[in-house]
Amino acid sequence: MTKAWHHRDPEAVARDTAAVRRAYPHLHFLPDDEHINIQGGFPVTLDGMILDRFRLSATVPGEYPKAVPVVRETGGRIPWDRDRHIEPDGKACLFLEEERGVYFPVGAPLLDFFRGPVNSFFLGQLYFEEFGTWPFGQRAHGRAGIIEFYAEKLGTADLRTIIAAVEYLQHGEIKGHWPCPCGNGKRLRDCHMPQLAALRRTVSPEVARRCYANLRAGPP
Amino acid sequence: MTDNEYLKKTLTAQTLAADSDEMKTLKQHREEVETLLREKFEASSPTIRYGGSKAKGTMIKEAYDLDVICYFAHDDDTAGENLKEIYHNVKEALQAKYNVVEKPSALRLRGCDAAKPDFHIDVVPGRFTDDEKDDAFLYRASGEKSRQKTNLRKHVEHVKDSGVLDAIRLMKLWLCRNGLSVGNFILELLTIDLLKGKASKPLSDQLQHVWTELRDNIDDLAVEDPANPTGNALSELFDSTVKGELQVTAKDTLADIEAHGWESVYGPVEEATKEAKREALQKAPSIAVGAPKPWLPGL
Repeated sequence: MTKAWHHRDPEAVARDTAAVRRAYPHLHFLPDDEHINIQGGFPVTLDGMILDRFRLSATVPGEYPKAVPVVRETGGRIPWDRDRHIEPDGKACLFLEEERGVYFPVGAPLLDFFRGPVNSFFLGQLYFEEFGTWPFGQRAHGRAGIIEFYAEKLGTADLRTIIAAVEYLQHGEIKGHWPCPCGNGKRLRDCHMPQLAALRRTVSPEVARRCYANLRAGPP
Repeated sequence: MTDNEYLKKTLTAQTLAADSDEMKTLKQHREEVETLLREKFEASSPTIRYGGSKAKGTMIKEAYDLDVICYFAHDDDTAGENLKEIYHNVKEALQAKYNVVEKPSALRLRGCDAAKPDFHIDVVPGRFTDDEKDDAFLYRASGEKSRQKTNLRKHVEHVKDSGVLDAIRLMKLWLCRNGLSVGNFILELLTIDLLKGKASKPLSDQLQHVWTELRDNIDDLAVEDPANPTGNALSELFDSTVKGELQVTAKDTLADIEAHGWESVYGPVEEATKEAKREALQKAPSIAVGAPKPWLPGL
């Protein structure tokens, strides 16, 4: 079994802990053997203004930075409800796995996670409380949200094209001479290569493999 | 500004004026709650009054929960034959107007719109133990015992007469800002106990003393309910998880004061007004362009 992050790389942990605690002095690090539990009060900011505070826990898994910390609102303020993008066990769904490379790429400092997706998630919750809509939009739940993401990036909602594109993304390298997944008979380099290249920057082969299995398992 | 001036200003900013919107709303709901309960339990004529921080003088703006106690006479069965029945009948009465969430001994009132934050009101049903109408039993929906003896008057006096109300309010703000799971009452009792004989010290010294004790001697600390010292139900709420959390947070807080000063503990004295925050929030879609869209897996 791989050692947990704080046993593998104590220097990085110390650096990240200091940076997060300096920016968020009300968050506290409580490591155990397998994880680091970060818990406390989280101020939601916009343009430097503190808008409100939430109580949260963020569990940094042993596989971090490969795996993303799991965030939960623990103050009982947000209902654990799918319409609030909270799973039944309280886990907050900050972004699609495919979008991790955009919002919190592997290797980014832990502070970026709190300043970016965590702050945005709670900002969205505040906005929803006040105005009843999501300020940055929302993804459809489950598989539909994943399809929606690829449809946006590829410029087509055709499921066969999306599945074929994801199949390519499972490979480490995408070759320009491959037939284009849109099925128009052209080579990839002459058709959807820019879109696939952009996806490659955020979707790793591992994520693509999980997504491919998911898409293949669902209805056509 | 000295440390104590800063702390005093922080306290002033955390004071809810009687004519503030928050207090007006609370008062309005309190009246509604009283009307609902008096109508439903007309034959019982329950004792309804403020409890919690409002009665003790320890309310802070950031967590201004209002406790409303609703106690029935010890020989009155019309509201329920036992504590559990009373608890559920009071809940039913409140459901006519509110979305009611069960807590271990209290009933939390929320609006019917789940998207909105709640009303900051807990109704605490109970039954007096005898004709004196002083001691009362509360139903306990969780924990080892199914009932808990309490005494509102003793609790209020214990806190009000402690001479360390300012320190208690700042400790509550600390609890709130750090998202600690320890109950307010436990923290109040700990603070009072640790500050015995230290009421004349400057506030900054008082707080640092409490945190130093929490950091260094947490395992030696115990809490005792002044209303029920022999049947202490509070000890189970002051368990190793709560202690561990308090210890780490106290340690971090003391280190932060040392390295960055008191503002790292309580932040700037003045925060933006509610209107300014709402105005800023309204601009969120245009300011935080490109923020992630929330999702939900597994469907």
